Amino acid sequence: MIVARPKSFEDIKKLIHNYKKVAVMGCGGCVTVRSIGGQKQAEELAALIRLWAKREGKEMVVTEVTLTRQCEPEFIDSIKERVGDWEVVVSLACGVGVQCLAERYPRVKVFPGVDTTFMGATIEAGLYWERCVGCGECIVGETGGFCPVARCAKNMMNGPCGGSQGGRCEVSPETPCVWQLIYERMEELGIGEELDGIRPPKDWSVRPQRMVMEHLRVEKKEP
Amino acid sequence: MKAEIRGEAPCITACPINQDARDYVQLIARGHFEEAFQLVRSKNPFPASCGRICTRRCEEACRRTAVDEPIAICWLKRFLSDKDFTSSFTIPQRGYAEKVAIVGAGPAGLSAANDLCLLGYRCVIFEELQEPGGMLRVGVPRYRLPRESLDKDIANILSLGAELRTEIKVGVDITLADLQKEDFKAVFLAIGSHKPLRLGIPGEDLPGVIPALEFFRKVSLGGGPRVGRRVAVVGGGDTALDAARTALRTGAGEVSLIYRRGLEEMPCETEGRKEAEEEGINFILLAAPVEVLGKNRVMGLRCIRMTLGEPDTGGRRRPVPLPGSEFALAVDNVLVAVGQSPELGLLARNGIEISQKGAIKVDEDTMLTNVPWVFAGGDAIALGGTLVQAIAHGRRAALSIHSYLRGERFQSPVALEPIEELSPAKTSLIKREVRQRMPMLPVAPRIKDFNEVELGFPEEQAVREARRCLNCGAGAVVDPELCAACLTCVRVCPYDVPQISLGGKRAEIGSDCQSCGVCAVECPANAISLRDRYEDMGEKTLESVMGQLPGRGVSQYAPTIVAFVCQYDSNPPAVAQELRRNGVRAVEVSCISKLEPSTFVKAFEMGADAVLIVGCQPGGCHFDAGHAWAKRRLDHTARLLETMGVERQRLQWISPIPEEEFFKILRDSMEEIKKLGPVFQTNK
Repeated sequence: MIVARPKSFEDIKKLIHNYKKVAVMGCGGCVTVRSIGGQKQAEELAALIRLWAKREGKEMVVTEVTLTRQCEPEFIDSIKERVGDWEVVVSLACGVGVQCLAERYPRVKVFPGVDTTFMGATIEAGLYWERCVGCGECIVGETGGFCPVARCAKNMMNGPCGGSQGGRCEVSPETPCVWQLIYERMEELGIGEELDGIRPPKDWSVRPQRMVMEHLRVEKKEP
Repeated sequence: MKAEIRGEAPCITACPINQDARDYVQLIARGHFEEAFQLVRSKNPFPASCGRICTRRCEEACRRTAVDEPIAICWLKRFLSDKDFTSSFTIPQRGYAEKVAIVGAGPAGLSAANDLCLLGYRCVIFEELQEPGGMLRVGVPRYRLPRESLDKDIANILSLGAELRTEIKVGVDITLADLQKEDFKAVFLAIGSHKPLRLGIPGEDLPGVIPALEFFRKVSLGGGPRVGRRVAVVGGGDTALDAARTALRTGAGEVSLIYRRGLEEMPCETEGRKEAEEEGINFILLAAPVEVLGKNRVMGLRCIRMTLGEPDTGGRRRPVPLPGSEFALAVDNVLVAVGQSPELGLLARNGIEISQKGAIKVDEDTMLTNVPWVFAGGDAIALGGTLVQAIAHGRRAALSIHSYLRGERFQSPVALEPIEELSPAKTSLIKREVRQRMPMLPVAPRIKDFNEVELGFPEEQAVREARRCLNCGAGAVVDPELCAACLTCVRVCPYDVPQISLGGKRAEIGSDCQSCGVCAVECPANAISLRDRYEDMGEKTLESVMGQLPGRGVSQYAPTIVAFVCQYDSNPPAVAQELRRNGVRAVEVSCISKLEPSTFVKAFEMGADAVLIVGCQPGGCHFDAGHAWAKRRLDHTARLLETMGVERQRLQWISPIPEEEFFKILRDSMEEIKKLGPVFQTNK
């Protein structure tokens, strides 16, 4: 799931300080599950903005809205009647949601209220760790179930590098060296020799990526 | 849409009148005594009496028993009744024309009168004795139920408008036909059960053998029979205990209670039994009298040892005499307390059908007898009934009579089902808190007179006891339409209650929830709320206290301070009083862990210059984990507020104990806050 972290209130102040009509928009998808951008967090940020505006003597109307998902046109459309009331939308969705809003409503300024960080997993309550970069060509079947693209600081296809020390990455001692993990797991599985060959470089050329699911495509006639 | 917890708290479902035990206990825990009293009184016309002598099925059912001891629900009711509140009912201005006759001013009759008056009927209560109260007056001694307490209940009931006619025996002085002639449209027979059962043994008619009720009556009239030095009481119920304790108070030196089964089988209240033990009553268990000895007066009582045999039809093990085990006691009096039966001869002659067991026969649903306009309830239909059972009969009869008089079919109230039992895995997670002990008169002076033995809880003790309540069935509920299955509740719950079943898509929070509120605050989708009707997580209360903003004086600045006050781990009335005295607006919440960070922010937005958290010390939290959650949220909010220049001192945590220290810290904090000036002064 997508993980994000809240922008500091300092940053948010800078984004909105010139406006009077502000909406704080939560997203019911990934950022809700991660307690970063759900309805609760939208209410909290809205309350903070209102208090700040009052202290600054600014006249500001702050609205809170949470969409089921900010990355779907139908849900985004659900606010089309109200969007004219706002000069600014602070979106608590990931970068995808922020852009979807911005594209659909070009007359409104859409600002991110969070910094989207990675696609990751819950390790334990309140601790998430990156696991995937969406490279478009999954190789974890060849690497014991660990992704070197997402989890190696150098995205190395053939590791480990000389910075792997005692199973840890030199970049951060909290980070396990993924190539160490890959070797250990492959040995355990009895297929360590599969790592003997050299993996060719990844093809990073096709960006941005696009995907078509033909079986879901629907041609709709204009009514 | 809410996924409801199925069922209701067992203390409520176990009670024959479904008294809102949990809710009034929760109100006491929050220091809202009058509201608690009104809640009690809305279902129970006898709070002072019930608060003393109820058989407490609620406490038997209390889920706290699995952790330590049940909540002292009964004593908490008494605490409320001692507070001199009066009921606040409104009687319908335009009532109904029909008159209802109630026969017997005991708890069943008076309860029916109470409810019929509230429905808008005119009631006349016919009482055979000089004073109302029935068995409560003639069968319960004053040291357990003082007359003032009983009188208070009755005065409260009669104030609703029922007319009481004493010293009239229905059947003798006035017949059912007379009542019909007097234009009564319905009758409720609540004549009680006052005819003593006999032992059925030789010597029973000797002078000195006295039925317990007769003994009580004579004692209460004063100048009654002084019993001899050695007294034997036969029986094992509350009346037997009371006969023994009354004998002790009227001059007996040596009182033995003879009961044919064991201590565990005694059909009496444990508290009363313990008090009798303390007073030195000698329990002779597994023994039964076979003959009263003596010629012209009682000289002794011959008894036989018993053993418990096979269970009888009621499931209780039948006592069986042990051959050759007879023994004699030298006694001067024998008090007989083996039960009573109703006096039904006169009613039978009036055409009322009597059951084989010797009680009035009724339809248990409608309380209707075989005579279409005559209803019955109380001990007259349930032999050996209890006070709360009689109240339940009276209340049901009132509704049934109402339906009858309006020509409607009687819809009996839906029986409530209890929530599941507390699962054993949770009991170790719940903090143990000792049940408060009832302050009592010392034994030596109390057996010399009839002063009330149990002195009642003082306020602080009552609040402390009420806070032990686990608030069963009032916990968190998930709105399945909002739930994102994020697992946050599953992970944060200190009691491991929420679950997302494998393959499930929504969280479910079962009846083991302890209502700490941690999940409700942490739920990112706002999908969780508390079922507890007295808990608004501070939100509405905040709005209401901030609605009373006084105009700010021009000359002198007084900061507006909001205090969120935990209702556990403090003495709420004392804390509230101190805060009020200092002009602080208090928002009460049962555990600070129920507060959202945005609620603190909103307090400032609504005009607070500072927010105080009056919460527990580490280790003091009722929920254990609540303290840490609350602290964390407070720090988080304080950091956010600092980024906009709101000083840290404007959001402070103060512990309410020890009280003296709290008062001092509160004053110091207020000084500090005052120096900071208004939070909105800058107005750049």
